[in-house]
Amino acid sequence: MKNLLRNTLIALSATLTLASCNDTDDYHGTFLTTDAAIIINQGNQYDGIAGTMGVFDTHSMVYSANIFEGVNGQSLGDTPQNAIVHGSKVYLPVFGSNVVWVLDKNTNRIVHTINTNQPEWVDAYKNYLYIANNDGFVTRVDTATWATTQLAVGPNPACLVVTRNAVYVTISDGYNYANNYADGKKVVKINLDGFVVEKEIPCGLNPGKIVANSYGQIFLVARGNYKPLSEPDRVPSMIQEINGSDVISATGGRSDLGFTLGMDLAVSNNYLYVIEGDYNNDGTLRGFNYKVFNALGMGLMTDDKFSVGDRPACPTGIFVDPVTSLVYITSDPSLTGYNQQGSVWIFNYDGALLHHFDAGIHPYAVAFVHGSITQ
Amino acid sequence: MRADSTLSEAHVEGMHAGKTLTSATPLQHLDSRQMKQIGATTMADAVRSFAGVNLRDYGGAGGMKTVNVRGLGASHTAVSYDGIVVGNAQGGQIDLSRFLLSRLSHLSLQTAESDALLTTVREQGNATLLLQTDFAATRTIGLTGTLGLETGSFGLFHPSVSLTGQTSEAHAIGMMADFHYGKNDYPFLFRNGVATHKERRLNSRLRDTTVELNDRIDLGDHGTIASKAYFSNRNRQLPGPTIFYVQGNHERLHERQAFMQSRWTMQRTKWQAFAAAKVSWEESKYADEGGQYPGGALHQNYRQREAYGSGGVGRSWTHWQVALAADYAYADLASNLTTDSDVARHSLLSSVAVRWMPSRFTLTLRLVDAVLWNRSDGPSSARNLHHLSPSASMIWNCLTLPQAHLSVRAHYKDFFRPPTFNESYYYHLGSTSLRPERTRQIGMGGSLLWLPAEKWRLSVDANSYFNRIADKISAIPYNLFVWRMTNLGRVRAAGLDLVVQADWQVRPRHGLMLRGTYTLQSVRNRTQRGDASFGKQLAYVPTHSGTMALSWTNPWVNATLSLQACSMRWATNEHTESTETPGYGEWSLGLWRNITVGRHHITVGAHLLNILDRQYSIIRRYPMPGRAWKVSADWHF
Repeated sequence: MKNLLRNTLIALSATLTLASCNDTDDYHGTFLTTDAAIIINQGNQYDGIAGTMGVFDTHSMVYSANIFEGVNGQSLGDTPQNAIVHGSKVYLPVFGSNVVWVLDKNTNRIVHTINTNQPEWVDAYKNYLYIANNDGFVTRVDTATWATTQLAVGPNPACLVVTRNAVYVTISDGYNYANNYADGKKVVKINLDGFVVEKEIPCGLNPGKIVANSYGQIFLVARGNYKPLSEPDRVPSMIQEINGSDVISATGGRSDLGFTLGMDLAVSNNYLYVIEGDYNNDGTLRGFNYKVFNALGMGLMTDDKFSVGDRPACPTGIFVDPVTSLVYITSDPSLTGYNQQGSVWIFNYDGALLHHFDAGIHPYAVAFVHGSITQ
Repeated sequence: MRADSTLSEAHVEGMHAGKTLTSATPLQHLDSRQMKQIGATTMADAVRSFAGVNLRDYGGAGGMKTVNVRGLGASHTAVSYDGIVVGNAQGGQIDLSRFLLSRLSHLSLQTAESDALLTTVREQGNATLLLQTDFAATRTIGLTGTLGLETGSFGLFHPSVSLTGQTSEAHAIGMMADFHYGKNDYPFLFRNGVATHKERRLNSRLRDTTVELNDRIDLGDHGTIASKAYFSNRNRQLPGPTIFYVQGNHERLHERQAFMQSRWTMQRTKWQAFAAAKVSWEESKYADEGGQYPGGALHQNYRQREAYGSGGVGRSWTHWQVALAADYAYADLASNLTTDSDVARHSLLSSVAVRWMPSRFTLTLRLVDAVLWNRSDGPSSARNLHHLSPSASMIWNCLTLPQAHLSVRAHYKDFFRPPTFNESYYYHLGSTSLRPERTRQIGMGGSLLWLPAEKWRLSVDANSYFNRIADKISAIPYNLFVWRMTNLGRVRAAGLDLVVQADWQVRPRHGLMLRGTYTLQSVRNRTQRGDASFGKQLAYVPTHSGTMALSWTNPWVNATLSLQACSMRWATNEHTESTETPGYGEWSLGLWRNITVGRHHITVGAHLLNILDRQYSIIRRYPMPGRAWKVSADWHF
């Protein structure tokens, strides 16, 4: 299995090499590589288990657990949410501990600490970091001076992505479930230049994760109201697209429902990956389906990806490495194993399992550390 | 007729240590003197001194304390207060921190079922903690009372008053009132990676006022009526778990409880009977502040009511006893949350019990029939339920010499617990399709009382068990975002409970007592073969735990040195390095003296708790207090 992944990585590097050269070159140049995948394990605050950060070295195929504490001599904190690699640094929001860690990409040492309320998600563009704060704000951080500016955006921002010269923030109103997420049906678009709200884009109920690809396409999960299949007012979780005119796309004529049901998603170039729940007749969760769409044409390419042979027991997230197009799925060991040691599964874009390894308790997010080689 | 051929008293009144020898099911008991001798100053201390018990303590005077007996789970432990079980249909678990040890004259733990043949059916659960107050034990004619004051570390201030007027042999009234305040801002060490920081519990204040009125009427041959009215008003700040890089919390919980209960018991040569009734009202208001909530705050208010009635009758013959009893209860729950429905439950429990007592052998058979009807104004109601629960117990008093008594016992019990309102209806999490948790207990053991010399007394109580829990109610993910309760878990538990006590009257007015308890528990998850947690010890259940107390009573100052200890545990059912929770041992020293001036008695006491300042937690992230002191004075008049 390890050899298969290694060979795949070599093949992908060769492909990139060839693709980047013209006929007159001697196949020399600088090429992007993926050196490591940072694995964020959320732990379990209820059980008193702090989050951890591990690193999977894609060259040696070795996973090193709890790197953050090992390097820095202190805990990562409670309920880390995601991580991004931007420039020479890693940014890592830790929701329960009210902190965003700034790490050196190469050493994983803390270079700065941003204290901020309930950071749900981060993304970055040029020399600014953007933080979605669960208490109703987006915080902009100047990564040169660490000066912060806050902008009120609405109740319970859940996620954000920077694309099209704007920050798109999903507003879930998730703590207002008693009123059916009354103010949680929108995406707020923030203009990067003035850091002001430019518009509000209506979307499905209770929006969560939002992602964008290199073409500027934006996709999100509208998580619905979590009600069981049997309840008539159930709003299911679905995937929606924000088109170039900043409105929810009516792909397939189903703008009200999104173009497919789904609970999590990842996008890379023209591939959109979706995880969907698979239910028993009594409404209990039986397992998961994985769908892959052509993001450019919104056509379903396959609905049984990652379904053959070994597969993750209970996925917690799906991520795509934009350089290698490999798909990483984080998973708990079972439906009841949310406080147990989980694993990370690596598939190629065609659905073949390349490798899987044990991670920490409740692995939840993956970020990719890219390097370059010059030939 | 045999001297013991009358039915065991339906009430826990008058229970004495000797009962542990002759009970067909495991019974442990402490009276107020023994509580002092083992150094217990709180309910948690006293309960932890019972073998087979695993106490969940969230730390400090205001921290929730629940008790899990023999691996069955805290929801399987009932609490009886002066003869009537305290109900909690919402959460199923009784927080022991609401009861004050200083008010109790007797505390007992009966496992499997009550040895008394005629009791309320609710007392026939898997395990019942029996609390009996001072009033129930008082029999002195005239006005008697106690004024007490207790103070200590972390802002503890606890004045109390108790008055009892025994107007005649036939009638007594009483009043008890307590105000309990604690700031609970105790320091603790918080380990973060290679560093250890000294921090302090914040937002942990407790203000608790409890008042109860008691009345007892002796009707002669027609029995006794004991009644009680109770009210408590409890304000707690909730410190929550310790969180990395965050200090302080804003959560608050305001609870008010009121109930009235009355119980009539009648015991004649051949016939016994009882009737009991209770109405209770309970309100809890939880609040948290934060920008993440609509309007900047979260308010969750619940109101729970219960009406309860029970009655029973028994008949004795030379070698036989028969008892019939029935309970009816109505419980409902309402809240301010638009997501929650108003729900209610009717319960009808009935039991028939037969006891056969030839010579030294006693065999008891019992069958409990339970019928539950659930009602909800929401889209669906929890399942109705009908369950038959058989049980059998026997004891053989194989040695009954003047210097020694040896008995062996065995029991089998099939029982259940219905899903709580929270498990059935809590928004997103609850499921109305839940079945009850089912338990099967098999146990055997023995008790020895030996008087090897005139001034020596040794007692040994050893009981082993094998329990199974099926359809255990657990949470599983409904999707990637929310969880839902389901009947999924299976548990097997096996263990040994050992209590050893030696008393030595060294010389007149000088006595030594050494008491030790040991609990061996193997409580294993058997839910899903192949799962990482399959076959492993359940979270927070230690394999080894125990207590030890050495007490010296003398004419000057009585002293007790005590130890509570527990082996390492795991925070989750999977055992990994990050979930390992270390064991602990806590030593404490207690001094007390009784001073008599005329007809007045004054008891003064001083305790140094956790002498070695051991830093530990029973539940991860909920640190227990380190070294602390407590002094008290009680004037009995």
